[in-house]
Formats: sequence, structure tokens, C-alpha cells
Amino acid sequence: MKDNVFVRRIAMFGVYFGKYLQDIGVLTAEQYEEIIESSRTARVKMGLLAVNEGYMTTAQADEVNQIQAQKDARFGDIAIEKGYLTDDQVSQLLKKQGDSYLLFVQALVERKLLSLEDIQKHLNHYKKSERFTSLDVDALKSSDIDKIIQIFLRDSAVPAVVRDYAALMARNIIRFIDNKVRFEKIEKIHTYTSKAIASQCFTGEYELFIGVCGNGCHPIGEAFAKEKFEELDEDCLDSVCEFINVCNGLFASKLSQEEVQIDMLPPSMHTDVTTISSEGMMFKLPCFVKGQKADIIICMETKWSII
Amino acid sequence: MANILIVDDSRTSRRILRGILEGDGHTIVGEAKDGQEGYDMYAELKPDVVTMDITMPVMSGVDSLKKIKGDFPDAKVIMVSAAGQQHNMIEAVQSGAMEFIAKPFDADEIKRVINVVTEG
Repeated sequence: MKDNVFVRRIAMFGVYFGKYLQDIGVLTAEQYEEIIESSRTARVKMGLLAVNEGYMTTAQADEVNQIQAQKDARFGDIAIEKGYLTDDQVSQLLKKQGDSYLLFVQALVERKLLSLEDIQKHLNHYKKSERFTSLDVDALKSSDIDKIIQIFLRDSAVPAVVRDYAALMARNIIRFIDNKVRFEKIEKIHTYTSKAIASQCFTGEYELFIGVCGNGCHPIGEAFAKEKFEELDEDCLDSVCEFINVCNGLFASKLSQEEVQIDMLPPSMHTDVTTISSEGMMFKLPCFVKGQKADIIICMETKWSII
Repeated sequence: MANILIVDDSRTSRRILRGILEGDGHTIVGEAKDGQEGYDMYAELKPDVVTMDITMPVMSGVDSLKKIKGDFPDAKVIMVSAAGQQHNMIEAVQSGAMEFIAKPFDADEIKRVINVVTEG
């Protein structure tokens, strides 16, 4: 089985920027959830697209919308007739109707929560507060998880194999668990303590410890098993172990294509307070799954201990 | 329809597999959590088919396969594994495994494999 790229639209931009707007009090939690949900299935209106691209002014878009309300014609056709858009521009705009960034913007504007100008102002603040580059913001707007996850893996101390694994797990969290997952920046650590740890180790040409830890294991376990668990118990962690096993298998398959041989050991789980320590390379990639925090812990190439 | 023994250390995998197989009309006669228990239950229950996870504690799926085939040469064993375990699969084939099921489970593929093995 291949680790596939997903075709369906994922509202990634809204997940990150929307959370920022919630944190600064512009959106309530309910508004955030409703907008994220609605932007998954909607299409961006042509008028908003045209204004966003700078092809039309807001006044021109409003004029065309008013004409459209009175006659059975498409926005693009009316705009061309009025000389506001060309055929090529309409074609380009039609391709962008599923753009997740613009869907999120549309949702904010339609609900009169923010104007386009306010959105741009908040986006500039967001970019500064997170120290994102313009390329990072473009990646968030793209909804391409491979581009987005690299924003959070950008640390020169992180080896390529750890970056590759983290990206693979990110793709599979979206595929199997929660396509609204939100990541935070990876960091190098030396110890980690949790009372919920699901893990599996690799041996062979790479020695790796992969752990998924914390309360976020609960929604992960439920989503993967497609079963409700009353609490984060061994049965729930077992499901998380199976999810890790699937990810690890895909990673092993990818490495085998590069003629790198690794073996997977049986998964293990811990439900008491447990500390993972490493003298060498140990990384934590935080993620939020259905609102709960899970830490992906990756140890590489050095002895790690679990007590 | 077949009597099937499921051998897998993961309760989640056992539950999902049971659901697919029972939904297709098969009977799950037992579940084992490791390769040794899988062998013991095979000897006791003599199922038509065994689904055998590869990576398990106590005794691996390949070792359990060898032990079962050693004492019961006609046993029909289907290996179950996450991707990327080609070398284990090769050893399993050489030891008498009849077919393979990959994780994550694809219900249609599992039904197809069970039918191939039970009709073969």
C-alpha cells in the first residue's frame, strides 16, 4: 500500500489562522468550528475571487451580483459583458473556487465577522507573531500537507529521516484520524513524561523509537478503531499502537525502496506515568487532534530508556 | 463459510478483522494474542483457516507458522502485516503461508483472500 497524497480539499489554512483568530478573541470556539465545517464543502463566490485577485473592485463585484439577482446568468458571463473580466480571467477564477484559504475568507466575510481589510491585517499580525515567512503563509494557503508540515519541521537539528517520518505520520493522521489536525513546531528534547504512551521501535539500518503520547491518544484511538472508548485505557492505546504500526509499515516500505532495511518490533503501551529519556536525538512534534494535544516523540540512533 | 482462528497481539486488529469476517458469514472460533497461543489454539480447535499477524511478542507470526505447519502440514495460514515487511513475507512464503493481508485492512481484499484460500 502506498502513502498517497490526498485529492480532497482540506481546510488547512482555516485550521491554523482560525485558531489564531480564536486565541485573540475575534472568533468564538463555536464560530471557529462552524466556519471550518462550512468551508469544507462550499465553493468560493466568483465576485470574492475576482476582487481578491485584483481583477475587479468591490463596487464592480456588487454591481454584477445585483444584476445576477435579477437575471438567470452566471457571474462570469455578466462580468465579461460589462468588460470587467476577460474569458481567461474567468477560467482562472473558476479553477480557484475550491481554494481553502478563500473559502475561509468567504465564510468570515459572509457572516460579517471580518472585512477583507481586517482579515489581511490579522493575517499580517499572525505571520509576524508566528515568525512565518511569506512562503510559509503560501504553504498554509495551499492546503498541501507536505508543504505545511515542513513549516513545523524546520529546525537544522532535525535529521532528514526524522523529518521524513514526521511528514509521513502527518499525512496519515489526516488520512485516518482528523483532517483538521493542527501541528506546532518540532523541538529537540531530552526527556518526556506522560501517563499515556503508545509506541513502536524500529531496528536495522535505522534505530528509531516512535511514540504517540498524551490525552490526544484518546481521539486518535477512537478514530482509528472507529469505536468509542469511555476513557484512555489500554484498549484505546492498543488502537493507537495499531495506527503507529500502519504508519511504520508505510515508512519501512518507503525505506525498502531506497534499499534501507528496517524491522519493526511489537508495539508497546504505557498507562502509568512513564518517562522517556535519551542522551542523543529526541524530538517532540506537538499536534492537536479533535482539540486534544498529542505529542509525537521520535528518538533516533542513541539509547533511549523508558521508566 | 469457514471456521477461522485470528492470531494478532492487537485487540483493535482482532476486532476489526472479526467484524469483516463475521459480516461475510464466517465463524471466528478463537482469538490468540501471540504466536505461541496461536499454535496452542490451532492444535485444540483445528480451524479451517488462520490469520496470523507477523510482528507479535512471545513468538512471532513466522515462527508460529513454522510450528503449525511442522505439526499440521495441511494448515491454511494467511499472514497479516503492515507494509514494508517483504523479507518476513518471503520467509513466510517459504514456510508455507498461503496468502497475505495488508494493514490497514481493506474489507473487500480480505474477503477475496479468504475465499481464495478456502476454495483452494
